[in-house]
Amino acid sequence: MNATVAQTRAARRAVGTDAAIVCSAAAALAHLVAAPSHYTWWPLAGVFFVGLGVAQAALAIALVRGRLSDRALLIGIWGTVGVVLVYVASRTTGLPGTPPVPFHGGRWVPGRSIVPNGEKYVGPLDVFTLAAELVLVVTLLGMLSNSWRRRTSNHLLWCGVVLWAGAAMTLVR
Amino acid sequence: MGLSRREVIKAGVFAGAALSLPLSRVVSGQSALANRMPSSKLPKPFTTPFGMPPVAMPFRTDATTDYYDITMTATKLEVIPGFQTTFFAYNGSVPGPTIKVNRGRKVVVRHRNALPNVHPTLGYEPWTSVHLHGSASLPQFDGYASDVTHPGQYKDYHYPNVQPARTLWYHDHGVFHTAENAYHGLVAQYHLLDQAEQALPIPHGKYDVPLLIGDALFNSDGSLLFTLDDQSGLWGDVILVNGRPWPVMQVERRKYRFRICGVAVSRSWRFSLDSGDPMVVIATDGGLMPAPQSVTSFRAASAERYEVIIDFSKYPIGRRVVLRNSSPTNNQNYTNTDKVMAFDVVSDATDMSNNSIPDVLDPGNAVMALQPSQAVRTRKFKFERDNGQWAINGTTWKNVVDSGYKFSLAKPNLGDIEIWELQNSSGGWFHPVHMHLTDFKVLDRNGRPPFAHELGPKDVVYVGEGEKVRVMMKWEGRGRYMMHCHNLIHEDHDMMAQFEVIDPAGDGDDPIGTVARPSSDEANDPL
Repeated sequence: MNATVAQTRAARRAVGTDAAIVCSAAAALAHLVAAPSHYTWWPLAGVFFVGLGVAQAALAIALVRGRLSDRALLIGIWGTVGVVLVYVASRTTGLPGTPPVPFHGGRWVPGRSIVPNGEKYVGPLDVFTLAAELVLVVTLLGMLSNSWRRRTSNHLLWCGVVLWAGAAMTLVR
Repeated sequence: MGLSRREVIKAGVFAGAALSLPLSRVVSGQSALANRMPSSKLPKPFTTPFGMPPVAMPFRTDATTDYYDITMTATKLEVIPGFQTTFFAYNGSVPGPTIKVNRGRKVVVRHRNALPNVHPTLGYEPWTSVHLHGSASLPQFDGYASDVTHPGQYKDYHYPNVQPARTLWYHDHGVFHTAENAYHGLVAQYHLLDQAEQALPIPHGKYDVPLLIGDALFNSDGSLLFTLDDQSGLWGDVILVNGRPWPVMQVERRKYRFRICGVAVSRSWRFSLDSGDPMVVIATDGGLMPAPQSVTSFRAASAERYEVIIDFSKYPIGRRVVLRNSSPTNNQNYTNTDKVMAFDVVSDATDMSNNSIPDVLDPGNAVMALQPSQAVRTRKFKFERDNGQWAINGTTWKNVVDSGYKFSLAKPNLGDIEIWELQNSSGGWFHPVHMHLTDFKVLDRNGRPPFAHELGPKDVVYVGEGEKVRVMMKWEGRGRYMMHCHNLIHEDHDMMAQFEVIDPAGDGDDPIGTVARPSSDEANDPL
């Protein structure tokens, strides 16, 4: 490996780390901003959003401080994937055991009102946060050592296949 | 970043699924019409017999008051042949039973909400608030949107019936869900009668016919299809008259009086007869016009009421006359939304009494006597879409709620005569603007005289695209009341404001001061 190739890889790694920091911080901010409204809907959801925001902020800070171990990166990846899957479920199948969503006309309102399929509302902040988390997963994946990267990308592939299969089954039904 | 192309693709499969699935749900939600029942399964126009809603009977009367008992329930009806559709009904009927009362007699209605806790398909809690539209009711009995009755609760509504004879209607007004609840059937007429109107030789009795005209969409499984269409409105492909699709009514060769009330969530109408013959409008929202108006067509929006006389004596037996709808702009139309109902002339008249139209109907109507020179001020209201929200002067019902129901866009004084200028400068939609509590006179539209059919007392006025309409009223009563767009989806998505009539003698009653009670209290709370 000559010096130029090494420099290019280092530069890419730096860009990937910067992107991960920005995405993690952005997702953290979005969850903290959304926490109060979710708290009024269901206190447990508000607590979850605060915890999630703090965890994502901690990940951003850890990335700023230096290179993370594979173990830490894997926690970051699968933690984020878990959050993404919960979100996808909330907007598709719904989350069992949660109260009706007091969503009305694109904003939260007091009380128990929902508009038809209001709980499936996908707003600009949702899309922004989801995109940030997906970019975060990909950038963290790129920081893993070769063997973990291969295995983890395979597992992500299977997650994707399961999601698409679930969507296809819904369509068939 | 050390990702190979293959690893990027693998991660992309996951990312693509995670991003696409929620967004596809949004897209499919917006294209809910894709699940619409095919037109081949809809009934053909004029194949369903006409029917009228039942007349409600008071369960008790005393010297001053009639007492009614109405329960709202979910009920299955066969509107589309071969399909059972779940509606919400007043006393099991869609539309609900007509209440008839003589002026001066009070009415108390116990409205019970026995609807399911959660709508079976739309998933919302069907709380209700019953508005008697056209009545100068006290604020706490006016169906104030946020004064809701939850499933399992009831509320007694008191109506004074002191106004001149008119066609009123009662319908749901529950905050955020008026459109869904009314669409599912919570609408009915209410006829206030008086001696002056009953003495006129216009059609009465069986020749005085209520027509609640609306529209609906059906899913392919027969359930009602409700869609917000980006909160613009809901336009059905099936026209329902008294809950029946494009019915055909058998008529005698004489005059009939039709009490037309638009009950569609959003659709407006331009009614005409396929014969090209005129109809005579004798009354508007607030009762009889000073003089009848002959029109070959007229425009009407949701919640407007027009009493129209059609003379079938000019047609031979066997002739079919069709009431048509040449739709005003900014409606969505389907194959048969240009037809409303048909009349089959089947016999000569069996009763020729009350078969004329006097040249003068109600010359002394106080509202119609108002003159612009009497007005002490003019208020201006802009109806527009503001950052995705339907707003009046930039405010929504949220401003009212956030203020503890105190915020009012206008505070006229009791007894004042005012002009209100209602402006819809935006393109693409119309707004039927309704003021609670008061009747008003339409002064002009874009500087031109009102249409002939509007020359009577009104409480809803059609403010079309690019229109500026001036109306005039004298403030009576006191307290806080709503004004809003009667496109119910606009209303629910917050094109609703409040005004307060100020009486120096004291505050008006609190519109949310008489709350609904749980059904379990009924045993100790007889009417």
